Parts: sequence; C-alpha cells; structure tokens
Amino acid sequence: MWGDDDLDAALKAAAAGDQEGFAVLWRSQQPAVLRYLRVVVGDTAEDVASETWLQAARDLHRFDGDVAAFRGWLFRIARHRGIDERRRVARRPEQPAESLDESAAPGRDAATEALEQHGTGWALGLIATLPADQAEAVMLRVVAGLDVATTAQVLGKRPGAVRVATMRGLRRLAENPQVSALRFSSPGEV
Amino acid sequence: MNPWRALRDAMRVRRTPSIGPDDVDRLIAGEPTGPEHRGLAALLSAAKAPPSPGELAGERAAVADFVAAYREGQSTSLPTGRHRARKPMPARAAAVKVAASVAVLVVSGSAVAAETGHLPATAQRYAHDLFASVGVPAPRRPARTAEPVVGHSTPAATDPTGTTPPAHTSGAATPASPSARPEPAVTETPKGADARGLCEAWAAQREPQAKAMAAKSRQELVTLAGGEDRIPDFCAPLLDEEAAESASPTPSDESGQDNERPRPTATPHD
Repeated sequence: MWGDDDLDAALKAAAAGDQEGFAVLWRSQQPAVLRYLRVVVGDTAEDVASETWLQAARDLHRFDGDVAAFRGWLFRIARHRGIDERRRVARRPEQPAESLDESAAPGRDAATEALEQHGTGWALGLIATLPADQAEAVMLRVVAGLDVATTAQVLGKRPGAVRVATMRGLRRLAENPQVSALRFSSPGEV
Repeated sequence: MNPWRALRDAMRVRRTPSIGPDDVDRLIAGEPTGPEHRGLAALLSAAKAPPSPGELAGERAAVADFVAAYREGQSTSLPTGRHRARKPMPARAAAVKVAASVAVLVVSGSAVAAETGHLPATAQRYAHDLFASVGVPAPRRPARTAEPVVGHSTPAATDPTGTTPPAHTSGAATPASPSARPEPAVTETPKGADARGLCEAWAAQREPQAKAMAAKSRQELVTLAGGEDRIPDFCAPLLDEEAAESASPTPSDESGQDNERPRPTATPHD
C-alpha cells in the first residue's frame, strides 16, 4: 500500500494544512482505526473514528514526528475516544442492542453467511470476545501494525505486559473452535 | 505414569498448539507458520485484510472535516483544552479586547504599568500579551483573588522560594527603559499569548504518556521564565487561571480533579 516514505511526505504536507496529504494519511490509517474501534466500541465505530480524525486534524499543525509516531498518536486519540464512547453508552439508560437484533434477523441467507464466514467482520467479532486488554493488544499489534513499544505507549502499559497480553490473546483465539476448525481445512479453502 | 494424564496432555496439545513468542512475532508479521497455526493465521489475515470500499467511503467527508478542523486548531494555536478548540473567540471580540487593552495602556501611561503589575488583573493580561513582543516580561501574578499589590510587597507574597526574578524589581527601579532589564531580550520573541500555551505544553509533558515539548518551545519558556528553575513559578499563575476557566463546564471529565492541569495535546478527553 504505502511506504513510510510516502506517508512521511503526506504527513508533513497534512501538518502544513494540505488536503491531499491528509487524504493519503486517512486512506492509509482509517481501515485500521475503524477496525480497532469496532472491536473496542462496536456499532458506533464509524462515529468514533470520525471524532478521532477531527481531533487529529485540529491538532495536526503542531504534530512533530514521523509516521511511526503519528500512528501511535492517532491510535492514542482513537483509544481515548473509544473510552469516552463506552462511558457514554454506560451512562445511557438501557436500550435494546441494535446489533443483536440485526444478527438475529431472519433475512440472512446462506450465501451471505458463507461470504462473511471467514471475512474481516468474522475475525473482528472473534477478537472482540477476548478480554479487553488482550483484544486491544492484538488489534494494535496485528491490524494497526504498531510495534511493542508504541502499543505500550498507546495502552499506557509496560512493553512486557503488551507482549503477554498479545500472546494470551492469540492463544485464546487459537483455542476458539471456529479457529481451530480451520486448522484442518486445506490452505486453499481459507 | 498415569495413562489418563498422558492422554489428557496429548489431547490438550492437539486441541491448542502452543504459541511461543517466536510464533507470535511470525503470526503478527504474517510470515508462514506451521500447519498447527493455520487457523489462527487465517483469522489474523482476515482481520488485516485490504480495506473494503465501505471502509474508505467516508474520505470526502473526512477531508472536508479536516479543512475546517485544521483551521480551527490553528486559530487556537496552543495546546489548550476544549474551550478554545470548541468555540474559538470570534475575531470581533478579540479585536474589541485588544482595543480595550490599548486604551487602558494609553490612559495609564506605558509598559511600566504592565511590567510592574499595576493594572487591573484582566487588563494586565492583555497588556502583557501586547508588550511581550517588545520584551516586557509579565509580572508575577498574585493569587487570583488578591488585588494587584502596589509596590514591592507582591513578590514576597507570591514567591515562596524568595527568588524574585530580576525583571520584577528592576522594572520598578528603571521605569523608563524596559530594555534595561538584566535579562537579554528574547531573540525570537514569542507572542505574549504564547506564554500560557508554553506553560501548558510544559505542564502537559509531565503526564505519563505525553510527548516531551519541542526543544525550541522549551527554550522559549526558559527564556521567558528567566531560567529553567523558575518555570514552575512562572507558570503557576497562568496555569491556575486556565484550570479555573476550564473547571466548570466540563462534565464529561471522568473526575473533577484532573482539571488541575491541562491535558496534553494528544490526550483526547473532552
């Protein structure tokens, strides 16, 4: 997709207010931001992602760092936005969960199921079943592509704790019947 | 050897292949792993699959938001909390305030008043903002509720360390020439309004996850404060004011205590 050199140039341009630079940054990071937030906040991920970018845009003119630092910065914003969102939801009087209604709807045909079965949504859904610290560590390491040190900064933990959470998360995922079943299918099916 | 235990161990191995640190690294990097990790590898590659068009559908809106938000952020210009970011001061109001401060200064004479702290608190701040660009330092502000004190009792009252910055006393001693103050004029004069921003950045970097402030900003702050060790005293009244301003209308904060310090730029609680 993008090399860090391209993104560095885009980052500099965006920090100076350039729209095209920002668009490149957005395209490169939005999918990971969105997926991370899907795991963290669920259905409101898109809104929270927008808020994340809004704040990033507001503060970008004084951002001073390379693309790796930018990723950490962006995900730190996303994380705090996610925390705010969860707090908001917790404060709200109980509402029927829309997502549950949707998945229970009878309209889903077999073809859709098959298509979604081992897709991104399926994977994120499984990761979201992990304990929060493991889910976040897995998402930041695997999907956002952050290194251990940056992930530790985002989560406010020690690198060792991030390593442990990641490993535990992956082990737990491997134990999931849906995942272990894939082990016995041939690579071509996956 | 208990055969049951052996069997159970064998089954566990079969059910959940062990994943060590090396496996984690390989799985994260998307490098090929043994067949026992195939299911997990498939899951992870699905999680980081190339974006779907739906995931990138919001680009135009995001760029439009960027244009507006960037401008808004720039107009606030300092690592502030929510207020200025949310509702920037209208230009007209700013102009009125500047005009008012100019009027006050004209009436009361000169920069001397600004330097020695003889203006009413509000005017004092604008006066300082105004004169900072010509090298007049801010007087050390007394506690917020106290009246500006005339004469030399102020430093003693506000400065527990007893280290009064030379700017304060010499300002009264040599009223006519701000340039006579012992500290060299700031070469790259920050705007007066920046003093508070610099202090905020300085305070913010004490948060555990914050970025260190830029070397240049730090240097500016050291120069403004008249020395590294004077930064806390220099900043205290400015930050105090900011905290008081932001204390009331922020119910979304998880706890009221955090208002003591402005948040670092990247800590997005608002």
